[in-house]
Amino acid sequence: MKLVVNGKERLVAAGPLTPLLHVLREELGLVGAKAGCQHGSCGTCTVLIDGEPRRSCLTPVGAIEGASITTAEALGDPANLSVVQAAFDEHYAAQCGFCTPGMLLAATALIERKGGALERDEVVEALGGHYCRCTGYVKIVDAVVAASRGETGTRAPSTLEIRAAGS
Amino acid sequence: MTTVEVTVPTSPGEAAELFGDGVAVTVVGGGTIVVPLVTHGQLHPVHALMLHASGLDELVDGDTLTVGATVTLARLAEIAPEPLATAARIPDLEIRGQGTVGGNLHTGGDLQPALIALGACVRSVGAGGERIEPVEDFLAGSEPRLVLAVELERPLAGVYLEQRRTHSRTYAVLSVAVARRDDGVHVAVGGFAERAHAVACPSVERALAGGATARDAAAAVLEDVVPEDDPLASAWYRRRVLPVLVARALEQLEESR
Repeated sequence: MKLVVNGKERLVAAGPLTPLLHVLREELGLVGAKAGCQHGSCGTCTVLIDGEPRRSCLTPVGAIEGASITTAEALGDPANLSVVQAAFDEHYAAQCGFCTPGMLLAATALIERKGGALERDEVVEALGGHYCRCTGYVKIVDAVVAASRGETGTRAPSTLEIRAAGS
Repeated sequence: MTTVEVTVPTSPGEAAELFGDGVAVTVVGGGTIVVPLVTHGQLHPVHALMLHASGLDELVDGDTLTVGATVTLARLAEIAPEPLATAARIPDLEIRGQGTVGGNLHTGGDLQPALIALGACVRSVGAGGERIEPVEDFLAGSEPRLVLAVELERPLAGVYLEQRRTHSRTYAVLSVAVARRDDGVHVAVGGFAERAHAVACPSVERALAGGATARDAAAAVLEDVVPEDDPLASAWYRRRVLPVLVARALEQLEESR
């Protein structure tokens, strides 16, 4: 069967009940989507299927023949971050980084869907299915709100920098 | 390794035919229930019937609301009356976009009490052919059935409350759905026991019809269900919280007049 992954047509040999996550990671070598809980609860395997955020660990690949898949690999690279990636960097929204691919894709889809400045509660609602065990979410929400307003390009000072400036 | 036979029907009729009597058939709707079970080796399907192209996703919004089995919770939430709309919004955004009405109904999902309170009927096929029955009768059945659609009338008002579900569990600690319909107030509860499906609460309904206050009527819920212990909550806790939740739902329904 065929999938369009990050704009490229790819042939997939896996059986129809294989989770999209395993096809991406093991057959196509795209390891951006993480294998976390693998029963749909943690959110880190989230990818965009025809532009909508979906759990790749719950999606049988046979049900999405011909669909367009976007993974974290398509968002940007270190020299050219996407707006959401830049905002995550500037707001220290990633610590261990395991949840980040799912967060980035869900946030990217949210910003495209709403098309304007987001309120914090809209971000919290849309990212409610994504677990982060490091940040406490505040900085992630900060980053997504900033990205929705196009406020990227100036890195916010870190707590250490603020303390140093105040002493 | 055993091989799985996978079939992909392209019409409701073909889905019904391939389902047959449902013995040894694993139905795959949105995949949110079946795929992790397969991934973790807890389910080894012999015949997987994938419904994504079956055309069972029709949604007809008229005097009667007809919701096809593979309509997603996200689509349902957009058009459903309360208490069903809130029930459909309980899962997170990604699951709502993928999970289906048929799967949720089958697995102790959040829709069950809402559908019972609304007096919804389930159209299904299986051994003996197609039939339509009240959702409670459908849930009480034990033989495999393929859900085709759920049909319901819009109520005058409705409220859905749940005692917070932990994120990774498939059902709430407790859930309550109440609906005011032409013939009175209907009440259903779910989550009171790990393996039980949601049920109607005739004792509460009778008390309300007899003029009891919300709080007094709600106390009768313990005549209708026997809360149990499970890893989420103790029976002791559920016995204390359930009447409170039912009373709150009834009071909110009263305020919505």
